[in-house]
Amino acid sequence: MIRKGEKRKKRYGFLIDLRRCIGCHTCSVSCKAENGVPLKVFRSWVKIIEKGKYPNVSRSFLPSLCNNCDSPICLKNCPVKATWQRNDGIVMIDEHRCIGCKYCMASCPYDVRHINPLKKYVQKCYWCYHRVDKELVPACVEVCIGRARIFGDINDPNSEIAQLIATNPVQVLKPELATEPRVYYIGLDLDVMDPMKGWKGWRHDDGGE
Amino acid sequence: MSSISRRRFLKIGAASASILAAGSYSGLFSEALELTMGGGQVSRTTGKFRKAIPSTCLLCYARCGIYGYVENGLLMKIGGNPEHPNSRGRMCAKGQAGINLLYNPDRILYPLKRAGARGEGKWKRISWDEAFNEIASRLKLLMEKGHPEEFIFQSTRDITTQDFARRFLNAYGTPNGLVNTDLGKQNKRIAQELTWGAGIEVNDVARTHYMLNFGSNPYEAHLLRTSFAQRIQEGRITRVVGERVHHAAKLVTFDVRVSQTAGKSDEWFPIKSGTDGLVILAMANVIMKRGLYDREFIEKWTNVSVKELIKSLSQYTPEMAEMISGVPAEEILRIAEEFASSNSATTISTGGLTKHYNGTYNERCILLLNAITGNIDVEGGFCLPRTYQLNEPFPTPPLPSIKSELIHPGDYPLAPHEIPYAVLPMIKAGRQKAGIYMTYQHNPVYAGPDCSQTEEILKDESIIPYYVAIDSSMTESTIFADIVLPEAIYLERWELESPPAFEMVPFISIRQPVVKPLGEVKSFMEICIELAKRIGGGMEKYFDFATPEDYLDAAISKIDKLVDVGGLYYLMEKGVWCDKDEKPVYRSYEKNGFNTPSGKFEIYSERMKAHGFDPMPAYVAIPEHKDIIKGELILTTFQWNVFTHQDLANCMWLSEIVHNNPIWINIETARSRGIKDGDKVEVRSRIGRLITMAHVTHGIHPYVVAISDSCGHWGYGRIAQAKHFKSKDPNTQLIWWEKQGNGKHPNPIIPLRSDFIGGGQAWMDTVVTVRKV
Repeated sequence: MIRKGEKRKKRYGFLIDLRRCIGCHTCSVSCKAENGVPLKVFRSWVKIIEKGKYPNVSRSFLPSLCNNCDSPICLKNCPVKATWQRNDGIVMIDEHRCIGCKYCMASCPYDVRHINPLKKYVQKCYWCYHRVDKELVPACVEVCIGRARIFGDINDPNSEIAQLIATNPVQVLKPELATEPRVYYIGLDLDVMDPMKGWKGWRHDDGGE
Repeated sequence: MSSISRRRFLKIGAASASILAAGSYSGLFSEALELTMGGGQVSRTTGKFRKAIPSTCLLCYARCGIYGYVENGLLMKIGGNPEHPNSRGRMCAKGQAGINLLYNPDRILYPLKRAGARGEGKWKRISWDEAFNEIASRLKLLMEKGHPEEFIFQSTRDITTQDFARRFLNAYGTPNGLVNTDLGKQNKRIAQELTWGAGIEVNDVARTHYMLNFGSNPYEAHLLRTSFAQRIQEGRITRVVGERVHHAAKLVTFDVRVSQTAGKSDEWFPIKSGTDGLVILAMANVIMKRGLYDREFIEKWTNVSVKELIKSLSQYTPEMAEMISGVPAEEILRIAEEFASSNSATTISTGGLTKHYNGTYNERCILLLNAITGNIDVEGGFCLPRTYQLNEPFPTPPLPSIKSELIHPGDYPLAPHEIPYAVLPMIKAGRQKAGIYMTYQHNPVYAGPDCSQTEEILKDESIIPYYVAIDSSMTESTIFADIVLPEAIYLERWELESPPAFEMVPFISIRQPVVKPLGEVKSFMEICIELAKRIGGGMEKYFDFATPEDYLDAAISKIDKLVDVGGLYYLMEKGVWCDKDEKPVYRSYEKNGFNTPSGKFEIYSERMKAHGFDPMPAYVAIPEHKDIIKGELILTTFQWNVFTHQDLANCMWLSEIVHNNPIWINIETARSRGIKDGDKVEVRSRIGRLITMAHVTHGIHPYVVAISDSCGHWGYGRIAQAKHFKSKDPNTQLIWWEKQGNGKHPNPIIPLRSDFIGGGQAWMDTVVTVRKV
């Protein structure tokens, strides 16, 4: 996180403790309520899979949202520089600059960007920056039933999120792509990470056409 | 609250930090500048804090603490109230979507009068004055004729809120105030009242070491869901509590289906529907035989002796339980030993255990298991509910002296109240004449079994001559009403709540309008007050309240400590009050005993014996399942995490997540019928058939199929029926699941069938055949 001699700056991160997730979709709905996300698209979603053979069956959940990567491909690929990154790491979209070409959507390995079906520009999860700027946690973190979602400054060694990352084995999605995602998971399941596995028909994200 | 000051931020920050410290991982991060957990919300466009009004949710029985965030008189967002001792600022998907219900484009905003034939759907807008006069004059006529009992009132939830309905009905003089039972938990309640004198238990899961779950799915649905599920998660994580370490508790689930809870349990045992009672008794037998019981509790606090228990339970061997339930005997032995030898343990049980023909017996078995292991009302155990009893303001109306079959049905002598879904069939059978049938937030056609029969009764003017519905939208039932009164929903009205407290210290929370009521809607209390005044005849003296707030003020007037800090004003500002000096006390029965005739925990029930039932916890097989033939399956129902039973399908954020409900069928069962995932199948019971899609899965017992009970509306709002349309909200044009449809409701093929003691509907017992079409 921080190299010797480097000045510590604020870097927000997100941690999802899957031991505590109950797959309740509160995050999916609270995001719609907080950010006025239209129907057809989700910025926060819980993928649910069933594993095993009768009678040894279990379920796994994967709450997903924008990773606000340290090395975001979407930012590099935007032809009009509508995507930019804040000093605290949150990847933003200038909705006035966006031309709706969807190049960023195609390049995002996590499939978390969407076209607004009413306004036709690209949007994504911004970790509720409008709340964070007023010292409030993102909306999905506030209401999470199991307290599975933790948000905070990963560069502050005393923060809860930094402590948890330091003391638990954590995973990120698609680490091989070197995007340096900043959503960490505790207890991530290999099967649920597989984009080819999951209940079909649950996610409708066709870009609003 | 226009802005959160630094001080306030620190205060909330400290509070949330302490919650986290207690709740998760010691206080290592106390020096960090953490963000505030809740209690505030800002506008995305202006960055300004919005006005926050504390209130209480009512989208299910749990009644969590909420904040309504308001801008320019419009509700912008609902958030959690971190000060609420049960929900602690957390919410569920339903609670977040409450705003959809408020600004639902299909809401009724004005009183409506039927303008065509009954059920035709033609309406005329009338004034409140006309509506009140018409209803009051009819009620007055009934009263003057000397037949107040012909006024039949029915409502869904039995919670604090219903005290006012009872007052109105008592003052009017009708015994037929059918507001006594929460639809899902009737059998549970009767079994518990007979055994230990309380209607519901509180499972102290946050502090327990072992959770044994029979047919409950608290991760998706439970009477106290959000408060309960968060504590289950807490109990399942090793954490530091005060000066000691709480070791992660084990969760073992017996269920016919891999629900969200079963799929996340440490162990899941598929079990044949309706045989849970036998497995529990076999466990109790093992515990008694192996001497793992709590002798002191049994001898001192129950009305049976250890010797008697060993003798009467010896008939329930694990081998016999295996033969009938399909759960291996060695697993029954092992789980029984684990449960009994844990420092503290509790069962969890709801619908899967009690919504059967033998539901009351099954719940008695659960009580037995907790009692013999000494887990009654102890830390981490199976506890008595702690709530406040509100004061009924003086003068209180006398209880009606007229007897009624509806409220004391002769066939169910132990049920202290109505059999909710039998009410309309009983009226049809002539067991009680109906003059005026009034419902409040009650949709018997959709929520009850055998929908077409209910529909026919409501349609028939010779059975129900006059039907008044108080509801916020048109539903499958209100379509048959003669007058529909638009109701102020939970975000627009005043009420007090005191749900069972998980921290073992009772509390009171307020529901207050977060926005001005839409259109001309009125709250149920306002309607009662005005009707009482217009009916007169002595009734009005019990309703000398100018506003509902006056009544609430009187209701809390006997709680001195709350009155001292400001009473209603305190609640309006904070949303919730509990006595901070009161510490949780376990084993509360040691003071005055249990609320039963003997003062003891009545494992042996004289009252049950007097009516010819087995006085000991027992198992009876479900008659329909005894002569099940090869190829027949048992249909069960369940609830999704984003719905309750009936009225949330018109919330678009929820319907977008779940709008379809295929039938769950085991992969082997499907294969033998040539059914593949996504195939169309016909499900046929003895009263009807439906066609739906198959969801082929490993996660269900091979003899059982399951359909959720929250989809497939045919007479409720347009969103619930998966239609896209133009409205003020552009989102209604984006409804994309029209082609997929809105699913199939299973209730039309579920016959009316009640538990033989408690009378609760046996939702999980229907025998069906399934074939590919």
